[in-house]
Amino acid sequence: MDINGLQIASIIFSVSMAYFAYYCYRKKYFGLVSLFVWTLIFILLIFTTIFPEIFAPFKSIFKVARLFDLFTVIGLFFLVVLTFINFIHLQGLKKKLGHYVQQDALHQHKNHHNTEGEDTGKTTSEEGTASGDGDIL
Amino acid sequence: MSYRIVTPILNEEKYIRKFLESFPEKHLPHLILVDDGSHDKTAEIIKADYPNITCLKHKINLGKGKSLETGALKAIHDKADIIVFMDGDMQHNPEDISRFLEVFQKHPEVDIVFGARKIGKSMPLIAFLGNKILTISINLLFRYLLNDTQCGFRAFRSKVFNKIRWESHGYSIETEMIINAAKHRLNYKEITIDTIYLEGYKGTNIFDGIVILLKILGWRILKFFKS
Repeated sequence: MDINGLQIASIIFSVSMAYFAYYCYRKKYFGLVSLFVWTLIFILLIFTTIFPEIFAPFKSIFKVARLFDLFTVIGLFFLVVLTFINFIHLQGLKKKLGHYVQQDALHQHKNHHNTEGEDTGKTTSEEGTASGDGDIL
Repeated sequence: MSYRIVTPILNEEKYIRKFLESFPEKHLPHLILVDDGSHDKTAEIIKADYPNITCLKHKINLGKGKSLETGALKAIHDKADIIVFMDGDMQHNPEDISRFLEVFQKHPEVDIVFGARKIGKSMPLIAFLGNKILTISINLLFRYLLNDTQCGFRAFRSKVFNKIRWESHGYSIETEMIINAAKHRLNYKEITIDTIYLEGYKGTNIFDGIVILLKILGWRILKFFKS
């Protein structure tokens, strides 16, 4: 079996990333399912790197000259999908964080005035400020 | 007719006293300051020296759009009929607030009043050109004729808040508000206001302008598909 430099680099990359995934799992950044999925991805990458000829029949199906081109295209698709999923998650987080910070600002002000009201014997409604509980967003 | 003035502020510890001292006494109790995650002592100064002014503090910076939304929600919670938006960098003259309120009193059919800055030598050339490009784009694409679409000094009836409510976090909020107003065909008026351009201007820059222009095009395409 003939292994070239690019294949060696790819194997080193995959092994390093698999170890990094395990490290993240140990640090409890994600759970067992995520560790399993990412490790599987890197094992598949190593397998593809060592035995690329297994995918030879796909050359004619996808009408590509070299297997390397096919892997590049699949890799790009994978990256685009991952970026999109990240974007969606980030937007959701941004929205949740914004909601939380706004709620906090509004409630903090209300609590501050409630405390002042108790100190001075006034209620918030007497001062004409916020009253009532619950989510006001 | 009750009203609230919403002003977003960020790291203004040097100027906040000057800003509040320049404010007419009659409007001060109606002021809602939204500190958008300042790293300096802006909020502490307000709480210590001006305890009667409502100051809401975002723990982290969310952007101008979200600050104005927080202030507007507080104003609605306080049952205000009119909500006035005004920048906190002393660009706008607080004396003009009464002129906005007068329009609503004289014209019950008006939902929203936009401030339009006077075009003069004081306006930086790049700001003038950027403003013109964005204003012409909105006028042409949404057929909502205004002279200054980027002016942050504006007021609206709180009952139309949900119609003009924006998603933008940053400086696109002025544009999105106009586009939403155009979508619901809200009645509007425009009044000319004074503007002072100070050193250390923190508002929109050329990159924000490009982002706003791209968003205008995006919103127009979206409107086309929705219709």
